[in-house]
Amino acid sequence: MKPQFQHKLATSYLLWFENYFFKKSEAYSLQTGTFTNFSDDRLPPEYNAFGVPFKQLMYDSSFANVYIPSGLYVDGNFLPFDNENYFLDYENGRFVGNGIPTGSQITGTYTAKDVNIYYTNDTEENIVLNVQESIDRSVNNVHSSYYDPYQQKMPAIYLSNQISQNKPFAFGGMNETLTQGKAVILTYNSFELDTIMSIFADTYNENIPLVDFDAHPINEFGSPKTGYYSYNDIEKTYSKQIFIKNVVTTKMSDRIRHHNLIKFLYIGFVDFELSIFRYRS
Amino acid sequence: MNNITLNIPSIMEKADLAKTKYWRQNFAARGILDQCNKVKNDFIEDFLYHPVTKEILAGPTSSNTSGTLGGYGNLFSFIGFEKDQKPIDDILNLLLPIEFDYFFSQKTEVTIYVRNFPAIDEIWNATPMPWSDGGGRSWAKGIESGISGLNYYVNFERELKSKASRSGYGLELNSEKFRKTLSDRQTNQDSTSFKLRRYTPTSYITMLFQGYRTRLNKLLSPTNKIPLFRLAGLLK
Repeated sequence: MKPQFQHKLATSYLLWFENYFFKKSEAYSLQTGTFTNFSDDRLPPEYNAFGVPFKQLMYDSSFANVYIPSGLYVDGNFLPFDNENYFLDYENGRFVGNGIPTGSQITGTYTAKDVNIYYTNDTEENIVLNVQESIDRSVNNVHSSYYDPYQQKMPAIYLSNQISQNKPFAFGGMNETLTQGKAVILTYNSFELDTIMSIFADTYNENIPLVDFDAHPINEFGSPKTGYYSYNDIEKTYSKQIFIKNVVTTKMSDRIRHHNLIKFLYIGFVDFELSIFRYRS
Repeated sequence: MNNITLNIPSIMEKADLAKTKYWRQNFAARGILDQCNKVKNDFIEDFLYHPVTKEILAGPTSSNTSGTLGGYGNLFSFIGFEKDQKPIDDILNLLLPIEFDYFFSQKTEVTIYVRNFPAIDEIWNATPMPWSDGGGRSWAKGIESGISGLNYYVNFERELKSKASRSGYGLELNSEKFRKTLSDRQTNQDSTSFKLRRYTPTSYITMLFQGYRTRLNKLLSPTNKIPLFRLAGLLK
């Protein structure tokens, strides 16, 4: 099946959101430490996984002060990533190596995200319910040196794009396509929540480059497809823009939050109205 | 010394004419004001008789007469209002103060204008989601664009907690128990009050606003704009 406009929009929205958020917030930190081995039956048997006590790692080279590693030290020897046998899984905070013995001493430096960002097709209420489930699971499965893969970790931002409609704009069949972009924010304190809400309240009138669907940089192993990714290149490559026509930020009040199962989390929402003038493809 | 000859009949005629013209202008302007007020009253009436408004006015025990929840539950509970809350009043408080008036801007022109006509954004700002901290998402806008089931979830949780506290023992409300209770409630055919349904958006305030703005514009001059209507030459 051929990718459609909605696929491009979702990719554009996610890549822009991540870059914009980390550019404005600098919500990341440089870490140096040991990678701990754990088993993952989803990986091919010849691959072994070694995790760090952080979830998502930074892979966008467009930030001057973000360190993106080119390799790690295995038993004291530098092992460069080759994107096939040795690579970082940036989505799950781990190193994956082909034929690396499980008892290897792996150390390295990387940049960890302070806030994790996920793209979802789920509804708001399901996100909140699933977060409870995920927290229950993680409480029963605490690791001091790594996080289980494929599980989500707070603080987190869940992105989705929902209702989309076309309105006639110009003769010749040009439409204005309006899409609702949403972000559900779950944090451990109000400072984090206010930071995120404040950053995105100011995105009114911003432009988002409309990128191709295959411009998404991450492969199925959570590693950049070409080994390198910079959002600056995206901005230079794609000239067509999505316009942020309106932004509304909403916080769940403390009165309601205190009744909630996940009362230790602060919850907020950002609603974007995304507009682009285009012909039907 | 020159004598001034006054043509009294002519002066009287002009004076009468001026008086008549002034009277006619006043009369015409008042006529238009009456029509403007009728538009305002129709606007409020249409708003109050809109199926969504009627359902919310009916409170937490009403049925889903607007059909926006597939016939299950009701909008008042789905949005998550407190039982004593009067959300429609927040919109009415913006519509009732609308006033029309006029003044003579030139000898032959009357300007009719409207006071306190709210912008659509004022309606959105006056109708925050009940779970929010007082700003941001609007339930009235959500009626048109969609409302998530989050309100339902929050309310359901509160209902369980409230039952637990009323019964005198603490309900250990963990995720598993909550999910099971929620699931039981949703599969219970007899339960309609909290049955989780997808909300179907429907036209509401924006359509009413656009309709009545058009009616007001047609009523006045072709060039008028809210909040200032100019009747250039209409009453000459």
